[in-house]
Amino acid sequence: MQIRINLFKKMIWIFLFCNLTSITHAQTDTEFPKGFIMYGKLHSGLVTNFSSPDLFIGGIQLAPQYTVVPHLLRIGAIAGGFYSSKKIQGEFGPSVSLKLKTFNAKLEGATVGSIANINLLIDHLWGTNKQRQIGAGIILDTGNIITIGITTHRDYNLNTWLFQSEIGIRLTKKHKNPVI
Amino acid sequence: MKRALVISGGGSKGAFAVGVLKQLFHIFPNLDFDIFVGSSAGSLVVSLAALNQMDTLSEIYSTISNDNLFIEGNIVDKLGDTSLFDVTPAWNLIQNKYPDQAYDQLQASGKKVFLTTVCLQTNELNVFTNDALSIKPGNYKVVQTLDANHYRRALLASCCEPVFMQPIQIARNVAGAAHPEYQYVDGGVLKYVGIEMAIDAGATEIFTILLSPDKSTLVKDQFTNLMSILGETVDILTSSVGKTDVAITDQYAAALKYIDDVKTKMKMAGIDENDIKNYFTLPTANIFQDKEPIKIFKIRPDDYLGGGPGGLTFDPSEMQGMMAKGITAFNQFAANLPSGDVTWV
Repeated sequence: MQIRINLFKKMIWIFLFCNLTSITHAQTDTEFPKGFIMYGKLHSGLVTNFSSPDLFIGGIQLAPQYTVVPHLLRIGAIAGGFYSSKKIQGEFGPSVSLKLKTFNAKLEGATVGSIANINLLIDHLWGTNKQRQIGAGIILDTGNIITIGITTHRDYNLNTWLFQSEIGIRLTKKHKNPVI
Repeated sequence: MKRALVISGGGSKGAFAVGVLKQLFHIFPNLDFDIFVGSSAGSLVVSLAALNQMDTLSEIYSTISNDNLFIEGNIVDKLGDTSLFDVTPAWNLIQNKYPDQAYDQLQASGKKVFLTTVCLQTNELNVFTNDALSIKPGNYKVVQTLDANHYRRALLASCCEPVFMQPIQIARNVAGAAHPEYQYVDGGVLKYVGIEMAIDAGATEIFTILLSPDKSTLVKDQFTNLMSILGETVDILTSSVGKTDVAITDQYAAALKYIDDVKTKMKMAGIDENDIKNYFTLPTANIFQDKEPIKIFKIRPDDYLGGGPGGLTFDPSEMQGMMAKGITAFNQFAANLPSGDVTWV
């Protein structure tokens, strides 16, 4: 009997977790919840003007944001440092994230929350070496914990383009269920 | 003679029970219950039915949606938390629909309500009641609710399906209650339907509303992958818990009837009533001694009601359909009820 119960328990857990990770299109949106969130990001890529040799760029950013339209829009800021042209430089500016798609988790056809989202990131950055960059990127946010994305920026002051990839991790504390 | 109303668990499928009760009180306005036992969704229904608040129940089960009951989130974010959903909205709803005056009214009515929960710390079935002295517990623990807040917390815990909804600390902030740190979840984990509690509380006429069909649904499709086979296996094992609950109480009722029939036969054969009583009185305790025959009326849907896994999909239009099915089911039940069984008109 005990063996049967243990087998039953294991089967339930496997069943739940395998099913919960099946990704389907959103019905009830749970991404971009109300509140504050901050990611730490690493980014790297190249700077080019399509004529002279491309330059490496890599850096670290802090990206705090606040949800102003739940399940749709966050606004915030970016501040960071980066290495390029054999120099360490700084950057900062505003950012906006627009949620494009939510991936829901389903159990036997019923939505039981979400698992990830894809959002459009738009920002404008001022650099410490006369950079003026406006750009956008597509970001995949998994579990509101890890983000990966690709971004493109146009430096309209230095007449260059920046093509980068980024990976981020959430730094703010998770919202836990209240104890009732 | 004590009459009980027992309702099983089933989440949104509780709408079926509401439909049954609406029609029951419509057709038999004199029918009254002394004992109420609920598991999970059944706990909410019996709590309000005991106060004759059928309008409130109808309103809840025809308008409420998932957003009114729990907050869903990102499930990856929820790993490491106590549940996938946060039941704060459900807690607010219970506080709103079951104020202190409701508990006072229950206590003044003399009716007994039993709500099943499972304690995660002790792994025991804990039955919370407004009158612990009225029951002789079997293989479970009975806990007296000390005030309205204590009762409401037990009611919420009884509805909280583990993994999906957070465990509830029923004794938290309840003056005089033991073990405020203990966490409780849905009693349906161990007891699908609490007929046993109704019997232990002395009921001899038990109306049971079950929220799942008796027969298994025929699945015509082939099971071709691991997940579908695993899902079906979990369904089979889960439904077997419910079937066992019902089968055991059916057997118990059948045994009591058999004993009563034998006693009647002995009496007709001229054996003295005191002698008969002596023959059936043993020095060791047994579950049949001094028990009267029990009548168990069962009302359940003919087919699967829907409502998603665990009845966790609260769709107002779907629940209105379930309520209509409950009304139909009771009409069928009433039409087939032998006149000799009707003791309440």
